[in-house]
Amino acid sequence: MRVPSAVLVSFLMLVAGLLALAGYAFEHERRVMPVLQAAAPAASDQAASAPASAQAASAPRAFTAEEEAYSVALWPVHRDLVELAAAQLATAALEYATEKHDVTVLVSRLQPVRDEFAAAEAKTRALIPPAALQDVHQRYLDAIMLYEKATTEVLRIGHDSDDQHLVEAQPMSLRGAEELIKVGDVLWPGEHKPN
Amino acid sequence: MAKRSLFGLAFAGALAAVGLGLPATSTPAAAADNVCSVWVVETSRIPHIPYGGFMPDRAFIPGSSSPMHNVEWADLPVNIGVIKCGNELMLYDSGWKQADYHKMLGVDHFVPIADELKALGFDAKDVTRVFIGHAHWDHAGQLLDLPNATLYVQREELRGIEWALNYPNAHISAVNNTPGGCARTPACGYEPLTMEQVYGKVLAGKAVIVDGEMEVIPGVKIHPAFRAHTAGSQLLEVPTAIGKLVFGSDAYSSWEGIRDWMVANIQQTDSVQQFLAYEKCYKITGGYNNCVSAHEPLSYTASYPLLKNSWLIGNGAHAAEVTLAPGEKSRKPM
Repeated sequence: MRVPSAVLVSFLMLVAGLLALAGYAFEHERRVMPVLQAAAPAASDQAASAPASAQAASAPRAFTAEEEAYSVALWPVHRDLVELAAAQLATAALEYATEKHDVTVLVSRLQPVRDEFAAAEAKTRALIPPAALQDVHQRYLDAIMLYEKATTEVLRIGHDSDDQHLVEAQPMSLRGAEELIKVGDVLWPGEHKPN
Repeated sequence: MAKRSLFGLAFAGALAAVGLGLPATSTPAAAADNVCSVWVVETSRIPHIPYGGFMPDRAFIPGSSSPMHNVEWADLPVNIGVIKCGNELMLYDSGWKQADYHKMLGVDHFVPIADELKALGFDAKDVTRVFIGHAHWDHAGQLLDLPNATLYVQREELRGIEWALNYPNAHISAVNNTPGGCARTPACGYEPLTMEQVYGKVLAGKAVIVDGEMEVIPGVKIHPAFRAHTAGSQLLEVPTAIGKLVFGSDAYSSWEGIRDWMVANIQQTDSVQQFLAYEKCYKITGGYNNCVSAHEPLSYTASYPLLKNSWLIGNGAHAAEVTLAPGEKSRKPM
């Protein structure tokens, strides 16, 4: 059956309008639901308010087996060496700045930190990333090397007791920390949960 | 090279406060009548948290009709206090920034603190002081976006972090022990970027390392709440036209918890100390209504009266105008 074009166009416009309205309504409900649920937490409403759709929408693409293997292999380096050493660098410097300003203590704390970064660099270099994660791999290495440079810079205080080394080092460790978050966001999304 | 010490210069503020028990900067008067204006803004919302994970005494029981056990999930706002006392613009907690954690799955309602302040008619550059209830990354972020603010953090908090990170057992020292988060390890939540931002404030001479109690400006007082959520948690008492308020960060994760004497968000919490922090609010304010919670699911609804005067300020996030000092204009859109 041949439908007159004007009628067809009107029908399509009506359908499009209804879809747009439905989309707006869905988005509106999704936004207000958390507050409504909190204000009137009826048990029967809970399943409807679970934001599974929101989680699915923001989920990253699944890794290939090769990518997953790389992520899994790098995780212990990140967990046991890099994250810990990075936090230790900042807190050792914080302790130096806010407690006794003891160069000897600072150096004794940071020497193992430098070793941890060196070990992390070696272990990371030993991994062969899949092509899609080559850039991430390099950025992770760069972040570790920034931290190594920052640690070495702070350790120079042990030679000349010049606190200016802290000022020189901090932009490097800050950049390293920012990179760790961004790379971690790709490899281990959601690794940091709100506390 | 000649020895150069920054401690006589850049760190002077912090050290003066530490050494003398005084605030680093001068102590200006609060508003003429000694009351402050207060807003609370939602910097993000973390949905779908099992209620029993948030408040163990209210764990969901399928089929239960008890209001203590019939809620399966909680949607938790992350609240920041915006406090204006005379010419002083201060924050209690500084939230976190989506740009730093792009794929924080399921988290919604992000608004950077600078944008939230702008929506209230303030400029982030005008923030003079930022008090962090504790140094977990979701409460002590965005510090670099507050360039002129002096940071107030408890020495006990820094010492607690240092202790945890250097503990010779990976189960204790782990910043992050699984790709899904670190739960309740003592170093959990103190990730490197946050520590760098705290350290950056100290290095810039924009930090006060607090030892216990401190009156920052007349009537605005820091109270220690050690181990009420983390090693060096701190509360903030603020005088207002509706009486004193007490901000509690995660020591006051749940306002209902304060009301009903139930622990909440027990990351690194000593439950006895959390109860004593609750009691502190009762003592200071005369009850539980003026206790300001960081994650109360009822925030911005009539069920949490203090924050009921609310509106949307962008991306689904809310703000609440809590109280205005005499002469202070409303920031709520008409």
